[in-house]
Amino acid sequence: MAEKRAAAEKEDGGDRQMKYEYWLQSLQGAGIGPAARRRLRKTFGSGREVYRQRETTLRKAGFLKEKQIEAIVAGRRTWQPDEKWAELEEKGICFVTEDQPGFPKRMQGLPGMPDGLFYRGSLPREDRPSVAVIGARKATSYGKNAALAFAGALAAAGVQIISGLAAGIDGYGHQGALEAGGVTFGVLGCGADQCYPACHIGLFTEMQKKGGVISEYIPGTPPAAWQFPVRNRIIAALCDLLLVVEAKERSGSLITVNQALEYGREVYAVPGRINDANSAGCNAMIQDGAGMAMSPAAILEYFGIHDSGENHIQSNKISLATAEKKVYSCVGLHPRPLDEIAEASGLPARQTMEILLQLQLEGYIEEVARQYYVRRGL
Amino acid sequence: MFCSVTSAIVQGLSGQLVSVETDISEGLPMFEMVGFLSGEVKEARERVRTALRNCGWRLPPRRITVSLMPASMRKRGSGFDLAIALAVLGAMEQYPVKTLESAVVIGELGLDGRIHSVPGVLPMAIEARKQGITCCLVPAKSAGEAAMLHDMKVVPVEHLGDLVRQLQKGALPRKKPILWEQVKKETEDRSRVDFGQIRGQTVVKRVAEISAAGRHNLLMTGPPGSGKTMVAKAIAGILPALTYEESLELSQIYSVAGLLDPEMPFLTHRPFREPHHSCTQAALAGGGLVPKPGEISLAHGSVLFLDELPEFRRSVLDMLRQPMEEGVVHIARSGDTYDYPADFMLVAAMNLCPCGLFPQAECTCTPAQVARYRSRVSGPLLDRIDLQIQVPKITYRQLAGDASDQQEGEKERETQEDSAAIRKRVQAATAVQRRRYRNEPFSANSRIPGEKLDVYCSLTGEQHAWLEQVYDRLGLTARGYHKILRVARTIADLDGAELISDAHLREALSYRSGDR
Repeated sequence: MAEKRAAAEKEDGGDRQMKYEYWLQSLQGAGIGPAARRRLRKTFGSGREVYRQRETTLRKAGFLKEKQIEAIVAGRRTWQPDEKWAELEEKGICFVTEDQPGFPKRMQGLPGMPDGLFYRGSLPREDRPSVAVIGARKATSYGKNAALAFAGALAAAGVQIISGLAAGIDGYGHQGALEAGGVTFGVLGCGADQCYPACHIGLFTEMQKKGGVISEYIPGTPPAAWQFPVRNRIIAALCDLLLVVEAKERSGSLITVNQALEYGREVYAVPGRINDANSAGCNAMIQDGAGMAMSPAAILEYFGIHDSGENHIQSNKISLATAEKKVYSCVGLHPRPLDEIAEASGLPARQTMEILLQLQLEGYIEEVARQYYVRRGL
Repeated sequence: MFCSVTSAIVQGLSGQLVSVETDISEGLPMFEMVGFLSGEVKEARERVRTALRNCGWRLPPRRITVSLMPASMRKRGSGFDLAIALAVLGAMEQYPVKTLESAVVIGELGLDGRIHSVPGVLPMAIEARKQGITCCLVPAKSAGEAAMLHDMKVVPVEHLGDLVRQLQKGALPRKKPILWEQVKKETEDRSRVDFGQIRGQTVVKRVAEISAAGRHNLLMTGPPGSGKTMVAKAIAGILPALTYEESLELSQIYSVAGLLDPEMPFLTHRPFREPHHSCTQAALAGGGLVPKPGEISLAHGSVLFLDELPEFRRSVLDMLRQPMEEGVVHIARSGDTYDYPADFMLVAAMNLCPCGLFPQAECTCTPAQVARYRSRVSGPLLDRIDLQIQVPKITYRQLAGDASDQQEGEKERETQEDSAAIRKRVQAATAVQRRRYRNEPFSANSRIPGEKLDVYCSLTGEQHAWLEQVYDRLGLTARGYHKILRVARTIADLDGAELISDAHLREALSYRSGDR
């Protein structure tokens, strides 16, 4: 009898099963956490079975509190599994639980992992290396350039780039990967159907085509401050190597770094100037033994990918006229105003300005704000 | 007995003649005033009655009717007092009525018979001249305003009693006409900042020159204390010198606003207006219960400087858009629309973030804060600003000058130009533009409409090709492209060039605004 039913369920396909798993997941907010869900699934076999159990049977199981039983009963009454599942499918969101083959192997067996993931697009592939590029939301031009360059070079070599879609370094990491035609995944601190911050909507939609957005939260969950540090553990789990591009002494990135170390991931940091507060966290990590990310090649080497030389960050050895060279050498990795550049190069301001425009048109430098210039690339 | 005296009123910026008629006839003793009068005009009855008594006249115990014509026009203000008093006295046959036949009478009466000034004497006098009136009796304090009109006999009056005695004698004293050109030469503009006083900052000075030459609106960004206000003040000083006609127009605005100084009752130099950022809509654009010109009209033909642009209320800033387009501001009141000229040049200053240090590493603002700060200035307003420049912090060397570096200072002093030299170039460029646009409704490069750009800012094929490249590379917009053409035209005019050259285009590109 039981065999027959199992066979019938198999024929129904996963969908039939999954809509009940989705229901079970939705009880998160009502006091049924991952631990309770795991125990329920173990005891009764699947979400569908839990859905079918009588209240007395649930009580007999012995491990549920009265409140939790009430939540399950109430949840059954209000939740329409078919309707809700159709809604989810309409949004293009997939759901996978930890006991299914699609669930990321990198996350299995780690403590504190969620028991299910919602995602749009796809999940990171197991057979490809993945690198998390993280850092401060308030990024300097240096951090921006480094994030773009590292993510770009790594993604071009086939590495999957993982980050948190936050403002600053996270966003530049995704952007660099996408610009290089690579694959990138964003782990969100809200439902997978929501884009936060809203200004990253372009990245958000683009990365669903070239990778995916992942969340442990039920679709529709609004962003909340506490959810962001929590999702960092998933970033740490999904990567093979964690690259911190720019972090202050006390930064949210340190949470991710500690998680990554706990999960046995390699940690690299991009060094900064010794007196630069925005890089102090990175420098401290290097001092504590993190790998020094001098170039993407060093990271590729860690994965045994031999780079063809293209992935070196090349110092722009360009053939420029002497005056242009003079001006270019005065433009640094941090924004510098026109008058300072003019003074340093010893050329009249108006001539300097013309050269700066020329350099800008040739793509060597960038004007980050009116008459503030910074080098492009590293 | 009947008597009529002509007075005037200001509506918006134009004067309008009002005739004050008085009739004294048999009947119960009363003093009645008619003619669509507002409260302050009705009160004139008490002032006139008391002033007459204090000057030694007693109103006859008969029926006195005063009528102000045309009766369909609402009459405001206290400028009719003197005319009413003279009309009453005329009806009492206290002086030969003929003496006032071709005169306009303006002034407010004190209870002691002294005559006080009212705003708007100049536009009233101008209107009177237009109507063929050759003499005007105005309060002594405002006499200078009217004396700008050379073909007008201006009689300064101080006291009602004295005036009537003079009328009885038939000898009215005349104020000497003011020779504007001469006064202008004598009055030096002491309030101005001279570019000669500003050390270094060559790029800023250059942009100021371009901005003045083409009347381009300018946005200065930069850290606090870098001298943005000084530069803005100096820009007002390099605009072409004020002509008599321009001064007459400007002085009328100031006359209506009641801002003319009795010592110097007209403008000899272009004004510099610098409203504080707590300024209201009415203060900036003009308005009020009795509409008065606002800051933008007071800056007509000159510089309106808005410091800390994002601190202004957004609704206040957005109101600038229409006047910036048309050069006139329309203020509608029930029954009346007032048009004030407002062809000003906007010079604005702002920091790039709340702490003022963006984009340097020391800036402590979050990206969201920076974005929010900048979004306080609306895009459409920025679209109307052609030039943007960073005003760098003044270095110690620039401050201390030659003391710290003898040779450098020597060199710098040589290249230090004063405003007079810059103004000469600006004036030449302005003349070129006026000639070029003589058949157009506009007269400055910054006002060339989009569809006329092809005519006046034509480029060669190569330049088009180059600009197309730049367009994509720098991510310009259509508006941004137009601005570059207009600015390039001005740079070419400063250069005395007929055609826009590559160098002009490149320079214009460096000062482009709006895309960040």
